[in-house]
Amino acid sequence: MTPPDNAAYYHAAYAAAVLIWTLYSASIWWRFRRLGARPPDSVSDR
Amino acid sequence: MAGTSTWAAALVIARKDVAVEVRTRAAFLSATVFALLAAAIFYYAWDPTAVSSLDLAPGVLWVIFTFSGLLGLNRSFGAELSERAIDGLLTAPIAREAIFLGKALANLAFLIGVQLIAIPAVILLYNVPVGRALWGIAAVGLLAAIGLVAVGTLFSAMVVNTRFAELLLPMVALPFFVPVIMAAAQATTTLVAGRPIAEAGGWIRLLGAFDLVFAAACTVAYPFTIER
Amino acid sequence: MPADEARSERAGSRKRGGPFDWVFVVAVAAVVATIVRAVYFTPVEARQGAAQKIFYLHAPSAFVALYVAFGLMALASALYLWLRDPRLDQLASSSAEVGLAFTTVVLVTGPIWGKTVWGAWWTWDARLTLTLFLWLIILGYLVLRGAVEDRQLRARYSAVLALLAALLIPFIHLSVYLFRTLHPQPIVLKPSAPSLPPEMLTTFLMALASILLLYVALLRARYALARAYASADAADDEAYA
Repeated sequence: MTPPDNAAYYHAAYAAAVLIWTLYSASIWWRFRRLGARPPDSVSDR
Repeated sequence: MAGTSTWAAALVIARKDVAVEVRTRAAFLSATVFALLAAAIFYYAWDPTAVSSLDLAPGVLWVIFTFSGLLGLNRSFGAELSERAIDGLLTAPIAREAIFLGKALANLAFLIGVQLIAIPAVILLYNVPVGRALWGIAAVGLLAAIGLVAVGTLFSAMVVNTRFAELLLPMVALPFFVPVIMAAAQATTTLVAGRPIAEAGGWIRLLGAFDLVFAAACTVAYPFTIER
Repeated sequence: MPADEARSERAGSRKRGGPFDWVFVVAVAAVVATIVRAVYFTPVEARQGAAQKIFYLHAPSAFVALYVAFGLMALASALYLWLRDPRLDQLASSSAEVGLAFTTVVLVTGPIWGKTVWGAWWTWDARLTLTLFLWLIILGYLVLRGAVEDRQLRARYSAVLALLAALLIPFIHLSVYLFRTLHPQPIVLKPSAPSLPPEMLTTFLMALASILLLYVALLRARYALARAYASADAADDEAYA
């Protein structure tokens, strides 16, 4: 029995997972950077 | 558990809230008008030749209660904001739980009032042959209202201190309403179809368990949300 | 401490590499190694085809998010209400946010697998529904946190919401289960996890370990961010005092 040809689906899923992890890591890094660069007393979110 | 003085204080607070609502009628009027309008709009949202209005009615009923209930819950603690009236309640020599129970009782009265208008309205507008099922529906309505009110009152007390209370309440409360709405709508469907109440036994037990767990948990949790 | 001194201290912590440390580097390397192994060195499953490989990222992410991340969130919340240590609140919210990212991975990869194997993007299966509602609850938790100005109030509100959410999960599960038994679902193909061949099992365990490590690394980073916010707040308070 030949496996169904659906490699494109798993490529899409892997790409999506890597993208989500990357974006989330970037958001932590970005928020940390903005906190370090901000003038005092302007914390707006956490 | 709460003693008699706690319940007495809770009743005083509930009576105060009901009296305010009876005098202004603002929230009750908007909730019932919303319920009637929604009942009419939902009718036209489906193709009546594809879905019979009878199959639609229980779902419509419970979606209406959820959202009109939220209208009332928003006001519950929001009304205490002006002139910092909540500080008066908090400094009163009563248990913190009494404030929660009083607010919850008032909200329960509010929701039952909405149900007393909305249930007959949906029955009439959707031509639901209720007959003896009416008492069953009333019981399911009461059980569901207790669960909605327990969770909704606590979240109303919490979001009132936030920046966008009216937007936040549905966001945190609706996931908690899911099992209640699901159980109530399914039990109502069973009853409206003329099947015996025993067939909805699982759903009714679920409602009862939800009421017990969340009424207790929210009463215990409330003091944590207000201490200074 | 004067305000600009506090600022330079924060800037100093930024120079030391920000919130990411060696654990993060190791975790990224482990996840990359897992993906390389899953893509190139793991056989294609005969019945489901290559799409079965989604399972290696999907299932470990689900395990890490639903059990580890949200379990830790509930535990830290309960401990916060007891001990009132702000670090427990920061830990709970960090775990919630990282858990949300992992749940998003679960909710995105799941339907892609479902489309190939079940033929539908989504079914209202008990696990799927529970995951979706958990995702929504955590989202509400984080929005609530963003909307409360007072730090102590925010911590208490979040802890209460997290504990009530933990109570809610069995009810959602039960109601979906009752719903399903009343409305039978079409028979679906389940992944045959217990009878995985050894090569696939190795890939799966490797994925589980590396994704767990990624969670730990991201949690450490997010917790460092929460600590940085807290010290910035404290510095602001002192600047005012």
